[in-house]
Amino acid sequence: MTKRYLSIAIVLCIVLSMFVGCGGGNKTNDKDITNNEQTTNEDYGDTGGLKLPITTKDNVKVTWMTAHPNVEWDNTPLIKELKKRTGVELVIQNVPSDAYQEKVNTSLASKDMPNMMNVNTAVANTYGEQGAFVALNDHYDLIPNFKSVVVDNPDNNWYLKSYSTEAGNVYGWPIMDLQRRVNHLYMYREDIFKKNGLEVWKAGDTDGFYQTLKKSKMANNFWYYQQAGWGLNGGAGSMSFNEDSKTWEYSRTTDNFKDMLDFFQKLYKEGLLDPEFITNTQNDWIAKMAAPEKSFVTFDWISRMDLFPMQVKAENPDYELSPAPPIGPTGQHFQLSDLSWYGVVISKTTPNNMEALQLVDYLFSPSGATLNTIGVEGEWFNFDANNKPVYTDPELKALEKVEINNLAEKYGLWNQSMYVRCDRRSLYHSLTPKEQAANDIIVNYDLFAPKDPILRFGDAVLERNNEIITNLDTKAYELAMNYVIHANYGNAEWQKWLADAKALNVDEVEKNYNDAQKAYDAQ
Amino acid sequence: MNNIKTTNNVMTQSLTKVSFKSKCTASYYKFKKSRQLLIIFLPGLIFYLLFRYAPMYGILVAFKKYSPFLGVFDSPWVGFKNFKSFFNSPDFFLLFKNTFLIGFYKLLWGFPVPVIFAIILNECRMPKFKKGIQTMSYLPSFLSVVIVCSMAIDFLSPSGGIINRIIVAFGGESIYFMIKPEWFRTVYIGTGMWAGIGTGSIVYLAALSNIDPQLYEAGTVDGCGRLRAIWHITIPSILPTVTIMLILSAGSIIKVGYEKILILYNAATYSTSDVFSTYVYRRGLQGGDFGLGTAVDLFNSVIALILLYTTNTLSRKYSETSLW
Repeated sequence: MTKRYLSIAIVLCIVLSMFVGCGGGNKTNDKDITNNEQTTNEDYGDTGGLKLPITTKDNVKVTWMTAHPNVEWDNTPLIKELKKRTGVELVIQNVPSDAYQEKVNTSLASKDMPNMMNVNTAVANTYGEQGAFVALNDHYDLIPNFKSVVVDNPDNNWYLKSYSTEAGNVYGWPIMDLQRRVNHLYMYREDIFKKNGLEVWKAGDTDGFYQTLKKSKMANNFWYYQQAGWGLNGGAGSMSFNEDSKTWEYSRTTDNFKDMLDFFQKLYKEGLLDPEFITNTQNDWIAKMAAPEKSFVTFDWISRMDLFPMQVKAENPDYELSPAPPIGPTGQHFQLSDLSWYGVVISKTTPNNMEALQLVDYLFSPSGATLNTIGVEGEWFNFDANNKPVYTDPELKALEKVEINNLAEKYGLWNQSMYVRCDRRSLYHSLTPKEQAANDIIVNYDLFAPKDPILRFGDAVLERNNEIITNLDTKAYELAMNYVIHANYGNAEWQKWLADAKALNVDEVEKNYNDAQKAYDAQ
Repeated sequence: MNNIKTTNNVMTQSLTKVSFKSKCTASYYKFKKSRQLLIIFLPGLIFYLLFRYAPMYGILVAFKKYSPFLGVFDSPWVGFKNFKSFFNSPDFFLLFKNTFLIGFYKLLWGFPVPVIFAIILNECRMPKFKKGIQTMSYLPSFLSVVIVCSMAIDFLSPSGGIINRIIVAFGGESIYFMIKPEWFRTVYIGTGMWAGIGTGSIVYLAALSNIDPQLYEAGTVDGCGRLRAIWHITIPSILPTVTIMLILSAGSIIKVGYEKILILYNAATYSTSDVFSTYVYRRGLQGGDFGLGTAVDLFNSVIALILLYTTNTLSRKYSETSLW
């Protein structure tokens, strides 16, 4: 009898355990109410016209779903300071970055959304129009920083043209002042160059680059990141604005793109491009860069020039990585924007949404930017004679170089989803000598490629563009990879690709972009 | 005459009433007798009802422009637009061919291996050795797909991979397997076989352990050697299990997931590696095209059902074993 009841109890436990994963959600318990200190007399710097505190009500909590791993975000010093200044208690719900989009979808479906999330334009505009998110344009009176920096600033109000919906609503918050002028660049092994008497090529001297590789008989291990060097837009974008004809074109059917493929094909054929560039993982690349003689030219984040030597100091004290000018006939480098899409949206259906809106506006003010990216002056840091922050904490003082992740762990700053505005005096913007040299190569010689406009499309056209570009990109990558690795690929294959692109409606997507450009210019 | 008919009707009705009542009683007693088994069955039933049957209303998403915010029922209908978009995609037939061939070769080469492994292991006369091999064979299945694929890419590397070193040592030339479309299916299926051989053989080992040892003794008496015993006793004994597993596997030929392919494939191998799920993954990246994803899955499920039904029917016709 006892055995029978025991087995029934076990079965019931198994059944109940299936319900464990259901429902729930992140319900925060109400804590004891703590009194907000009235801080209107304290000077927190320039709040851009936003009055502090934002609220004097007790127990106002807002939630922000972020994706910044390996840091403890509960009740950090930043959160406490924000509560002190604004009266709003921020609760961070951190999720893994590869599961973030899924979490966004789940939140939308369950209508149990955090106050703030970071989403792309399509999600912001589609679900915003369906009533999920607060339209920023309905509340300019509450967000003076957004109004002054974006709406009223003629250099920045392109943001509204590019990212608002057809109905004129804008749902997503931008990011400002994050980008350094140059974040990525070509790099070469200066120690090997010196050893072999090699000279660095000049910007745009693609043949010089080729000859240098030939002389050293070593390969480079990057692969067409920089279409800008061949007169195509920055990064590796699909659509490119032709500055000469002032029209949009699909970048991978242009003659410039073919020239670029021909160049890399030549490199591959002569063993001057890493033969495993297709399957290299991040770890493979790091191993090759750190090895003494394995590879010597690459394209990556400029801080590697300081990080790699530190890593290999013991085995190879002579290791030196230095910045190099862009290759490609134009010798240009893609330009980063001071203001760009960040996608912070405010849920319309979650309590305290107006407080959440104003909290983000505070972080978008100079005062909030300083707090979120440097800290509390006089308590956590002080500015030195060069206007660089020096932290007072003994653990930070002991570090050779304070990185932004150290500030995240210590004070809760620099959450990847939260820095809507940065203070350019922060450590992130302090360049090491190597980073400064990288910056100077591009800035001093004005090698920036012009920025392409960011166009706005209606839902149906956007969907059609995405469909066509996905199909085109698939075929383009296939053609590009095979073109580079097979020496017998040439004009015949290129012409076949152009014919395939026509069949895949490349003309239609180019027309859509050019029509959108006309509408953009007419605004 | 009418009285007889009426009497007959009354009698028939009485008989029917008694029959129904006794049916209920019989059912009650059956239930009472088997209640423990039914209780054990209960979690599985609830699981299937909650997580397999209840969500079936989600099939509607295939016919809608789905918005998670509006929900399944409030999202607008688009009819067969998602299916048209899918069938009209430029490489539909190539995707279908790749998906089918990968699934088919997975079945052709991957299905017999755990069976053969189970039979060979069953013939092992050293218990400790057998257990050791069995345990080691389970280990790869604990490795994530990412690790298995990374190992495969490393082993097959043209510069330092062990496979190419062996080839070069025998006087051959290094082969860059990962960029050759003709090698993709072999790599995909080979890694799957290596990772799944242990767990795949569990069902067959269980079936083999149920074979009556007296059959082997009788075979020995009749002069059967080891191979003959395998051919005449072992294989026929586990044939029903193999048939059922084959029927179940046949239904999943068309269902090739994207996770492993995403790690192993690259643009140079698209002609053999691009499948329905990777195409949907790329389209989905643009903003979560749930409608298209559901339409493709529904299409896959219909094909899987047809294959399952066909295989089961053929099995029922030509052998004594079938799922239903």
